[in-house]
Amino acid sequence: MKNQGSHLIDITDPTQDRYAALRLIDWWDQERVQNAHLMVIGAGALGNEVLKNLALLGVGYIFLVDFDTVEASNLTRSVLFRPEDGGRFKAEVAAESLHKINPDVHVQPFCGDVTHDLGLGVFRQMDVIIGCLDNRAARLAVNQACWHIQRPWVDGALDVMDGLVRTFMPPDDACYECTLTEQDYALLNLRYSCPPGFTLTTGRQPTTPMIASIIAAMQVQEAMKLLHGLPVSSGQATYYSGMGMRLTQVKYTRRDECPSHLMFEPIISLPYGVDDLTVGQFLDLVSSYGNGENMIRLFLPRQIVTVFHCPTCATDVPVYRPYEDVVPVEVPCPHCGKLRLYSNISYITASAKNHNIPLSQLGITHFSILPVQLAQRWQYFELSADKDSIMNRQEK
Amino acid sequence: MPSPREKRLQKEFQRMKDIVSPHSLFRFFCADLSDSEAAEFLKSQISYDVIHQHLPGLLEPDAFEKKYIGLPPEKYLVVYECNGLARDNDGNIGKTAAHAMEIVFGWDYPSKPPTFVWHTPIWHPNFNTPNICIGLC
Repeated sequence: MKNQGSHLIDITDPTQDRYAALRLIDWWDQERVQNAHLMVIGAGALGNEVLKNLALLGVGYIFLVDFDTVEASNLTRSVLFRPEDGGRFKAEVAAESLHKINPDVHVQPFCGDVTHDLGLGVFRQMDVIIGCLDNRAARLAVNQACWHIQRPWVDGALDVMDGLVRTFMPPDDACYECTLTEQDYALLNLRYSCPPGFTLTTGRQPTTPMIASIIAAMQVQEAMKLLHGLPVSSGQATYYSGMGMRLTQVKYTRRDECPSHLMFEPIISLPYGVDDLTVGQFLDLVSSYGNGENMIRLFLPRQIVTVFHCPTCATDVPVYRPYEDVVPVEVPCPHCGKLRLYSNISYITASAKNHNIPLSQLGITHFSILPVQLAQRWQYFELSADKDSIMNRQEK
Repeated sequence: MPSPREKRLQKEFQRMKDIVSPHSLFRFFCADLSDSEAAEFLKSQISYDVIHQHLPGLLEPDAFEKKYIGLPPEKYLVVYECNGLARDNDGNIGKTAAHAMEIVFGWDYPSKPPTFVWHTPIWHPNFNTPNICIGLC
């Protein structure tokens, strides 16, 4: 409790100062809220309500992630969308509406998928991350990101009359992945192995604006407690049952072998962006930070197929693109139609011949933090020059 | 301090070593192939001559442990020496006795399963080179 009791209450003119009522709260620090950087992932039912609250509170910077577009059925639960917004990106529409609610708030929309498109460097600039997600794969990605750079995140989930809120604060207590069962992993892998063109039905759960408001309100309240250094219970879920009007708490057990428990340390900031470097240039740079190790490996966020070999036609085609993007679609040989062999890798070594491949081709995104193994040590390199292009992008 | 992923990979390495015996029908190699070696490997008909002479990055488990002290393999080549059926280019089914499969562990392992690539021709309900159906995905 860093601030309780030590803060002077500002009494301002309620006819002029929109935050006058907030300033009367003894632990509230409006300046802290205005300087805060929050990420909201998902602009669905939950995201809309979370964002509305953050804008009302005057949170200074909101990084909003959503890959989806507005459709008519969203309108029963989305205070930020209007019928004429149909077909537009949710993140962009929400950013515009929030600006109208409170022009003090800067909202940076990011129309992409949190699992593959968003660099870890963005998470590192945040104070709190709020998950408004509808699937395990995205929650797992957010959890791992937050663990790597040690930021708290507040997860929310909705059913019809029930919902839950849980705060995770790495490196303490249980994290989201600690809670996953064998069955959860099986369902996750089912999602990863979806054949092309087939998408699992997500975002189609029955739900109401009431449960979205209730859960979102609890999430934002947790986020404000985190911002102000007030005590928050992490590694546990608070279940809300609307039928019984009950709150129940469940403490999770921390798993010592949990794969998420990896801290990226040390992180070294490179004055380059993902579009500035080839693999060779990156590895050269990295070796200048080493102690002359002869083993340097750049681990790739996604497995990369390096080459297709057709045994029938005896041809080799260099690929160097993410595994999920080429398997199984491009496995058949374009000449003979038979299935080709391929080689895939999880890391690139300094001795690799293909040094002229751009980093961006290897599934590496803007503002990434890349894990590099130098013999027995690990170092993590941030592509820091991408910061402004991602976090302060000017909208056309 | 090894990461949870490295600890898990070490455990997998130990399990791989434990199930191999002089009588087993398969052997495995720890692969640290350069990109060009990997491309060469795809072109080759699998034989031990090729593996030993031309691909220095393909190591027996004990050689791997000596070269990469304390580090687990990230990629395996499993070679099965047992009889099976394979279809030749004309569609005829014949006998085959050497099979090879590659296992690659991604950065996201063990949250996501490794990938498997079957390299050799085979006629079998669970295989369609290079694809394998093992109920994992």
